[in-house]
Amino acid sequence: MLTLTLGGTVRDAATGVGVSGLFVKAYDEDLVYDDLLGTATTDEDGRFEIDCAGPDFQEFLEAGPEVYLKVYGADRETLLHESDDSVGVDTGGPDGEFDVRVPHESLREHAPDREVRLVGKGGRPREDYDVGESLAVEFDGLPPAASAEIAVDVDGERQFTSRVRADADGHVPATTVWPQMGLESDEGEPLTVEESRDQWAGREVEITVGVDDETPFERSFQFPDRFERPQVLSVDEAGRLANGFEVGTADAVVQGVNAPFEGEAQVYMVERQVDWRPGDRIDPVTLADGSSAVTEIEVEDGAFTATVAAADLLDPGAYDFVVRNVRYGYEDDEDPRLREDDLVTRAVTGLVVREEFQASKPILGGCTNKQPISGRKLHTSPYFRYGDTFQVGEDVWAALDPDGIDPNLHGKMAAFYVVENKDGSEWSSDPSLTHISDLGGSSGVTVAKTQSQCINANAFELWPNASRTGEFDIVADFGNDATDAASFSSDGTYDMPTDVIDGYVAPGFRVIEDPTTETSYSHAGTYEYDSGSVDVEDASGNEVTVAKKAVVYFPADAAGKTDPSQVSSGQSSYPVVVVAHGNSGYTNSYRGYDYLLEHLARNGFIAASYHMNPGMKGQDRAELAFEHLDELQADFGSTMENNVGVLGHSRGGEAAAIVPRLNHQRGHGWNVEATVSLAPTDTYTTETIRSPWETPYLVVYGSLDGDVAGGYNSPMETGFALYDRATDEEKSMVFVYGASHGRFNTVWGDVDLDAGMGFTIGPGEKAKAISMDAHKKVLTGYGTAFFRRHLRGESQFRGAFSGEWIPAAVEAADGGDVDLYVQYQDPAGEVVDDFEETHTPTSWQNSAIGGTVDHAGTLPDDPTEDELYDVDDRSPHVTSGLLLEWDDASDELQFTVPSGHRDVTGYDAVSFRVTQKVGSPANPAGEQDLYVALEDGSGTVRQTKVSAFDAIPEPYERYYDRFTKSAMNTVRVPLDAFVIKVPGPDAVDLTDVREVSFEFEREPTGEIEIDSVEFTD
Amino acid sequence: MFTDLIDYPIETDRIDYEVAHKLRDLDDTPHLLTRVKLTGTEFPHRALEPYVRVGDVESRFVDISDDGTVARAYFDQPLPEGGTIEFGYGAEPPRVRLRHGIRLKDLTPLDPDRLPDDTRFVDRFFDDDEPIVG
Repeated sequence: MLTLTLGGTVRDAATGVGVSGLFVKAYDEDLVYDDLLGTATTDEDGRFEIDCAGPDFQEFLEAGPEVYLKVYGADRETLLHESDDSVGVDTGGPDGEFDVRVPHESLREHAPDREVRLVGKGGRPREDYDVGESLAVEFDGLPPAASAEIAVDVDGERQFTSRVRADADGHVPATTVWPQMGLESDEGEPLTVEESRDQWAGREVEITVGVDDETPFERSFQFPDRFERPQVLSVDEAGRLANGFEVGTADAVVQGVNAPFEGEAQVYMVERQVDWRPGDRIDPVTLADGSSAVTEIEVEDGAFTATVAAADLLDPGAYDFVVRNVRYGYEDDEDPRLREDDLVTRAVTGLVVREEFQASKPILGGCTNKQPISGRKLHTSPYFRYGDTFQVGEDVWAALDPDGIDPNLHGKMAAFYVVENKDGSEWSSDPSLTHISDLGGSSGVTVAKTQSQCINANAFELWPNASRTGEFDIVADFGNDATDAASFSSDGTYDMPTDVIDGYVAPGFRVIEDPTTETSYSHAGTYEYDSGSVDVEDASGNEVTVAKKAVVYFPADAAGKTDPSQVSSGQSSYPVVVVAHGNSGYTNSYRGYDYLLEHLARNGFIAASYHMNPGMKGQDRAELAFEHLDELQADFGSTMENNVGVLGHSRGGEAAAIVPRLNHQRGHGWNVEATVSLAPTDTYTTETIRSPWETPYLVVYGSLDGDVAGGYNSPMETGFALYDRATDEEKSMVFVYGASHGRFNTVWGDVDLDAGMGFTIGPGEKAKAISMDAHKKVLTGYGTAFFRRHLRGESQFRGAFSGEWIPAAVEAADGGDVDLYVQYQDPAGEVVDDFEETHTPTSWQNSAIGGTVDHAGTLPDDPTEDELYDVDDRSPHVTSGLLLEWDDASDELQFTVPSGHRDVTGYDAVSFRVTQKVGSPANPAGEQDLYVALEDGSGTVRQTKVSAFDAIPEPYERYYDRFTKSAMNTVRVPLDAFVIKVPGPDAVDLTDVREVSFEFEREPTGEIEIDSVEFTD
Repeated sequence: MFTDLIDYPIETDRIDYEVAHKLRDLDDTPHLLTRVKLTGTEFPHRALEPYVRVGDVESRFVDISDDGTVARAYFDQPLPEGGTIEFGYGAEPPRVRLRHGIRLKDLTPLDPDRLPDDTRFVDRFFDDDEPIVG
């Protein structure tokens, strides 16, 4: 029997916001009597769905209904709206979808309220505020993407205006418009809290919110003459607000007023986070002398002042303060989680300790204000995280961290432009700012006062529901340098060094089709086959009989397709991906990748995962791939292309690396165009992807792998070895901190984390693993992007494999807590040095490019060039490299570039692989850093900070030391960074680069291993 | 894996303990309890309730940290000097036993004058003539 589903949304025509609780009736218009097709009630988003059966509308000669809708109130009797015309619904095509716009006045009491709220801590509504608290507003019921202007007056005098933008639901989340009110005089001078209270007591604050041309909303309150609520502030020695200063210039002093407890308390200085909620962890930072930033205080009459850290113990960073009443003898008070009654610097960062101004710049001596601005709000701690890649439809947030801008700009008005990305030369020749039309053009620019010395209050929703793919830069234009809205005007130009940019040498942020989530086919068909058995031979010559069965997914146009003949007609043929699982006691291991197969099918692939017996080796697993490719070819015929991708996991991962070789050597005739090894073994230690069977290659491996953990052999037999040996084609490796072995396979789950307990996995380590959801996103995101790139020719995903960006869903997984590091090599790059020559004590002095390597006597010892696993038993690599150590800021290592190689304009970046040496006391806690410098023939030198573009991360520490790895990451520094126009160092002539050098003045000491120094795309 | 070959309780000196008096609010009233904190292995979260025994004295309750690396046992009775420390679950025999008995000399008592007025003292924690030990 024919069925039909009529769906749609009922909206307020004025705002476009969906209206809940309305009763919808659908009718089929007929000649005499109209048929009631069905009814439904709108949900919280205004959506409804009505299922109807053929007899309801199929009458003589009528194939499909002519539908019109009636919308009633919640009483189901009061008619609010009737659609003007009936709409023919084609029963042969997609079911009907309706967008019902009800005039605002017709909705009566059902109309969504337009609401403006003053809010405080935790987003709770407020009626008034104390001096020192931050004024925040929140909106509901606005037209989607509407711009709202907020004006704040004090005693009738305009202080400033801000502009915010609603999201797709007409909501503006809590946005701070006036941080730490009243802690400055009218002249902008900082005050003590007592002075502030006295100066502002009784003064009236009026907030006016205008939306389009409608009557503005107004709220007002008066500052009381005493503190009503507790506050915690960072102050100077005189008690004046001082929550930002340059490192080494001041102590961290905290002051509290109106605390709700007396007696003993502790103050914890912790890493800043945008929001604090009960249950969040409190981890005191470690000061420069190794002590923990915890201070005991005595609270008297609700007040306290304490020095938490002396100036010489403070490292650059952003911090919050947590104050806890401590009761003698109570263990609960040691709980490192925020409690409801703890005091904390909320809404506004407690303290920002800034780097020395010049040292904070990406370019040494240059005043380009390039810093991250784009990011996303998180539902869990730390509630905001900078990010560069967003999915279409995701909300892009912005937060300007004043750390790094001219201190004279703190408290100044800025206009935030989102512009189409320009590269360095484009910015140099055209610094004009054109706000994208998606955000209303230049009239839609968000204007706000930058928080004086703090970041949290600067977070706002920059681009709700980002609707268009592309690369964009963000510029905070300080215009005419005004402190109040009335006199501020933007000059519409990116002006160095004043204005701040997220972008220039690399896009500020991207909006992408996220390969993790995007699909182009509405459905995936699936079936299983079991075609008897097949005999394959392993490397020792043993014959193995295995059932020839697999699960297959394919692109489909409707649900329920189970036959290859039902493959979508959207294309005439599709590339194919086969998946080889690894060894396990489970006999259904091959079903552990269904999530990936379905996603690949909905991205236009035929995807199959085939069964293998427990105990089979890598070679036999590879042999089986061809059996199944033949089977799939027979099933799909001409709709399956000879365009093959192979993905293998564990022993299957090694098998995947064997498939191209067998395909070539045995003349199977398949075009294997993409190979992925997931947490592979390296049992044979000789398999490799290379000419003449080279294919693009991707390795994915987790730092918490409890099965293929490495650490017992040298060289270690892990995915690093397979990656290093691969050559003659583009290759990438994604090393995922916290990823295990088994969680990529939904059947295996925690097998390695549990079985490895006491052997490879230590107490508490399982809890550190990233979630299974995160594992799936990593594999889905990178796997799909890899196959789309190499089997479908979609070049837009290249940046994911060169380490330029991370798929948005992966970046946001586990609350933004997934760290991963990418190695990348393009064989078309110009290798400066790869340290593969015959090793002698002085061989390091000659580079692969034919130049010289020298440290001019600056390093404490000559570097060592050798197989990395011979100089470092924690190296998982099978490659030669250079081990070096420095102990002074003047230390450096220089690579000369001989003539014939000096024109690097054809490349995009200078790159190298690098790792901190595990266990070396020379390395800092956390990331290492250094400058990369280029010198041209005229002697012009420019140094660029690695940490501005990439990371030299701290090795992932395993419970059992032997599994902690000195794992290299590829650092790419865009060559644009060496040519952009900055006040200060001149641009380097990229047609005549004479020297590449590493300069170690970022950290006082360090011990690293490097490899693959090259110019690359 | 191979757990069928293990004889329980596992005797070990790889597990560390700390003993201290601590206040805990029970029924909204501060109670003075003896806390024995165990570290050095993983204490899995299980459906069965964990317990710690010191000699013949069993804990009133045991808290295991989120990551399973710390077990805190709270006793509302005095502990026997030199008593064997054991850890287990439910009605099962103990899984692990510390090789060396508890030394209560390691316990630093709290100052009774600083405790809340409504503190419930477990019998014999405070003896008129003896210091505060088990």
